Amino acid sequence: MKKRILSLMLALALLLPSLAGCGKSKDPAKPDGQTGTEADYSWFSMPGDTGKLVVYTSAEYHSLFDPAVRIFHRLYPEIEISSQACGEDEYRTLLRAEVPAGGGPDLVLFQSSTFPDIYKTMQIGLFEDLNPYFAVDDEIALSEFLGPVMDGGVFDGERLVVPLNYDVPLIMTTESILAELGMSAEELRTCDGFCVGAERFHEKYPDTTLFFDMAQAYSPYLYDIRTLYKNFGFQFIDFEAGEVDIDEGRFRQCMDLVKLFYNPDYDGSDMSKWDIYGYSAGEGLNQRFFMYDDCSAIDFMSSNNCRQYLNFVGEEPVFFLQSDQHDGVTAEMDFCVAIPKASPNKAAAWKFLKILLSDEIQGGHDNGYGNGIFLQIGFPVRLSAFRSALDYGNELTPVGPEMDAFTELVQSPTQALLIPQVYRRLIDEHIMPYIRGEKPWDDCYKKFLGAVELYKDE
Amino acid sequence: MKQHHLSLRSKDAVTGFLFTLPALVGLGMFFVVPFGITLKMSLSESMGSSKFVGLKNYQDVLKSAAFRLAAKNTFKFFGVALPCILILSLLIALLLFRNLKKYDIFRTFFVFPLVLPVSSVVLFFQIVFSDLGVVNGVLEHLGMHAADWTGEQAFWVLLILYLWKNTGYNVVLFLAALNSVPPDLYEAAALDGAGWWKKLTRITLPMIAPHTRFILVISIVNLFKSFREAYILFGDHPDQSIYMIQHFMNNNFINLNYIRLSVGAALVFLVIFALVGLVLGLRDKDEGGHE
Repeated sequence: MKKRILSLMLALALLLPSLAGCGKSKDPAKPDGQTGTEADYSWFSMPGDTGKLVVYTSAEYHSLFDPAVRIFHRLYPEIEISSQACGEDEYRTLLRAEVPAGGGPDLVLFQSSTFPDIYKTMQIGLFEDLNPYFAVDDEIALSEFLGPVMDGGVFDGERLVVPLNYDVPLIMTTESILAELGMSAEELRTCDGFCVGAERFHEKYPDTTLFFDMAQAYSPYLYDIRTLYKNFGFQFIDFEAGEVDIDEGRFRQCMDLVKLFYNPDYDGSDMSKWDIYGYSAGEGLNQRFFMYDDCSAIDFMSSNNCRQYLNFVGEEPVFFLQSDQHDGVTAEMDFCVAIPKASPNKAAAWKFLKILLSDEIQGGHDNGYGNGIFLQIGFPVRLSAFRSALDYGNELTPVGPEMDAFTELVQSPTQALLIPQVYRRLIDEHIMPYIRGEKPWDDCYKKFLGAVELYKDE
Repeated sequence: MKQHHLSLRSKDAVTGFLFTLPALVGLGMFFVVPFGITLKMSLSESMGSSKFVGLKNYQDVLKSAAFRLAAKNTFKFFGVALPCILILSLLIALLLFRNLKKYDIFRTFFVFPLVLPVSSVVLFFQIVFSDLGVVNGVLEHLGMHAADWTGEQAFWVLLILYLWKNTGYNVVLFLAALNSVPPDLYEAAALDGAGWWKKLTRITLPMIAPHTRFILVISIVNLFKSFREAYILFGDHPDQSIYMIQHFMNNNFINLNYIRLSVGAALVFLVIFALVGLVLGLRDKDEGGHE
């Protein structure tokens, strides 16, 4: 009898709430259907100042945070900053544990590796919509920033993430290589053209790798996978529409490139084959079709050894951005910022965010080692900070028409993404058998598609 | 006299309560309170809002294709693994019971898989069931095709791993149960001309029924624990044939979707509650019948 009563009570406890109704809640002040900066945000008022700000930093962000904190102190001495320094792993662990629980910092700075899937994180309603902030604050305007990149942080009409910098698939080749292949630079600027160029190059130099970068020396095919699907602009899942978004033809085209250059016997440990160190050997550099710096395109322009070598031997470098699957250009957001909805100090967090987007930070250089930019990698999203960010104070800094052309080039992305690493694992697991020639494409793609569908539904 | 009797009982009750208080505090802190928070979260709108939305989250999760696949696979694994382990361990126990001389050595042998480190077990299974592993080698030697043990056949690998790891423990429990059956019952049955089947079905199985129920509950718990090996062997996104409820919950935890994780946890609790309740209900029915 007692057990029956207990079971009944348990069932009722679960069923009764359904009578209380359900439905999507909304900010009571926010009118329906209002999204984007064109919407009317007159209902919005800035949160009140609490006089406090909590930030977490780690070693990877200190070059960005330290000057930003100094500027914040200078501008807002009345606001007390509580700063917690963490190790890299600790930083990620704290964010993943505290932010969903309503605690943690008032401003979250992150990269693709911090959250497993930023799109799923945006989907669960963790972050504040910053569109109203941009709309009502007279000190800042979205037009000051690179639109397609900034829109990378918009989800379902809400600006939940703000990128601070971005990288583009900047690739360098040479006039002599293009002449050898009978191709022009213009022909490389479409997705199909790039693939044709790579195929021709492979026919001529079957033992070389597709890209050259120090990072790929040991496992070029893994590097190729990650680089190519990123540059092809595959998002895999359209979370807003709630569906898988893969153009099978383009995806196969991308994987076929990886397969073409797949060489499991490639020995990247032989340093004499690394062009950077093999100038005198004369081999390799002209056998590398595409030179690509995964660390940062900005480093590529200003300090890359290959570019220095090309200048030294009088070769004319040719720069272009690899086209994505839609013949546009997909940028990758590097450092991003978000304000948790549960933050009690949103006003101070917004002020700090504005400092991170200011000219001083976006274009500023660390006067210490290397004169690197505060942003460390990538290009600033702030348009006015671009040229000062590129000025490394050395003879490689582009000037005049070269700077104009380069600026136009790297500010031409059509979209920006922050691709989660889970897709690399899924490709490695399900597509690699095709790349290795062990299984047919249809079988592998079917499994991969099934895995992506499952991931979407989780 | 009555007052004295009552106060003695009250005193005993208070003493008993005080002795159990540390355990109750622990239970409250580490089970009841977190469970309450989990339930509350499962009824909330989103991670950034605690607005009550009723069973909307449960509806969303139950509609999710991933959850349905996970539930189907979990029930399938339950449906296959549970009878297999019970029958297998009972059979082994029955075989050993008649011929057991060095009981202690065998007991150690059977419990051994339980105490092996998980990483060693997983490594061993990876070697045996890899594409170029022992099993595929034997299959090819016999003229058969190699199987994809991390893909479509992953279910059988997980089943074998679960049986290998947990059968021995159940055998020990069944042996203890068999030891508790009075031998004179078998003697009496033999005198009446009963064969081995009649003895098994009319004496052994009914007499060890309470123990079997206990072993059933332990096996159910161990079935859920087998996720650990599945996770290490096949990763967080395994083949669809072994994508189970724990994968769904774990992946939502990794993606910080604690709402869906909470819903999954609540549903799993309901299922286990129902299963264990059923087992205990059968026990009560049996004991009521015997009375």
